[in-house]
Amino acid sequence: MPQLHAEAGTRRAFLAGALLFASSLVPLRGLAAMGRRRGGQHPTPRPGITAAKVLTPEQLKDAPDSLDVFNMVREIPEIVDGIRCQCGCADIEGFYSLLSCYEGEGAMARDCMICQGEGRLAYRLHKAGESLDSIRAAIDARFG
Amino acid sequence: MRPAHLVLPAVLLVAGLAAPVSAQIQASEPGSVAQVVDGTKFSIEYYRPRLRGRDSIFETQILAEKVWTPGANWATTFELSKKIQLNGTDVPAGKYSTWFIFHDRTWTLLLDPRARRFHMNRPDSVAGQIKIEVTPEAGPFTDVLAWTFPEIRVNGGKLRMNFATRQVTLDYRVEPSFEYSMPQQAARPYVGQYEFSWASEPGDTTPPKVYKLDLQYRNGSLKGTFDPSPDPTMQEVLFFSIRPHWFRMATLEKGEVFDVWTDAVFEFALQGNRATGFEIRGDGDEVWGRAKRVR
Repeated sequence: MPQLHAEAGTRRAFLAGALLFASSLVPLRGLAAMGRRRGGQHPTPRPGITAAKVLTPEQLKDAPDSLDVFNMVREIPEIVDGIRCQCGCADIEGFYSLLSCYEGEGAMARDCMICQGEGRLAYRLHKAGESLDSIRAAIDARFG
Repeated sequence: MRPAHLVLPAVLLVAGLAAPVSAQIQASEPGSVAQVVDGTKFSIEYYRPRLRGRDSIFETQILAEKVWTPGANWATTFELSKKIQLNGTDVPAGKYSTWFIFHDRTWTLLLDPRARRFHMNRPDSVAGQIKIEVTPEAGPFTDVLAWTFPEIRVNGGKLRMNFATRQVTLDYRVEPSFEYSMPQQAARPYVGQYEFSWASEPGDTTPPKVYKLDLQYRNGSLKGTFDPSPDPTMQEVLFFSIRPHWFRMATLEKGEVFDVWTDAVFEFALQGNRATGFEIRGDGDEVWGRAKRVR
């Protein structure tokens, strides 16, 4: 059983390393992600919002590990647009919601584990039938 | 007309005070120290006087001042990002100039909300001041006045000032970020024995090692013991709720929380009012491990 602590440590160290690696890839936005910010109001989903700006598989060829979560978010833009990202990027100019993390050339969710985790969690809970308010509460509890 | 030999030193003095971190050599150089505990940052900025052979400076000079900032030049400041308790006294978040008022055997630590204050401008009485009784002790000989945080706990720590052979130690407590206790009725669905294993890496066909976890309600919280024990720091763990059926895990040392796993969440599944197992998920919502209830 000594492995339990060691394995946990390995996993935690791996995660920390992954975050550092991600921040090195996106030096400006990544720095904001190093310190999470608690709180903040969740945005109201914009009427008629679509996933048109979410990066496509072709645009993610250099980030294959994030492809799954981009596909998830592409399915539920109206939900993801009602969530405030807790990784620290929410104060960046032009940011509206977690959906913003998945849009455009600088999409932070390519590399940010928190953006990805929030997207996967939102998708999983939405598929389980949970409401947007319930998903928001889960995001706050988990990442806030 | 004011004589030039009086005006020039005054101008230089004011200029020097207005720019405390300028390129100059000072008898008491500026220093700072800060400590974060459970999200509360405690910062101290001060100028550090040196004894320079004045080993009896307390007896010959400082104690006679009656009110003294434990530093030099501009008053030493305490800055708190959140409210704390200092030697049991509530201190709101903010920045304070810091002073000692000397009595025969005890001193009073005076925190003044007017943070920017020259050391000779001793504070008069104003609203918002906080007074805390402290007991000076004999300490190791210290040539340069030093503020340190020699002890850190999960809920606070100790702060110490050393200068010459005097030492003052303060205990502080921060506001906890998490609620570790829970009612027994809320814990009841999760009390039981589980078999847990880490998720296998892709392509790894080795049967996962199984660990037993016994969750019990003890002393107002949900506590777990692993069998066999992983290592001394994980002999006992505590689960606390962050959302219905979601828990974080903390490791305990001598019954006190030692470390909170903030990068993982334990999601329990329930049938009726009885947990059937749980998953551990990481920040990326990936599954780290799974457990099923066996009793």
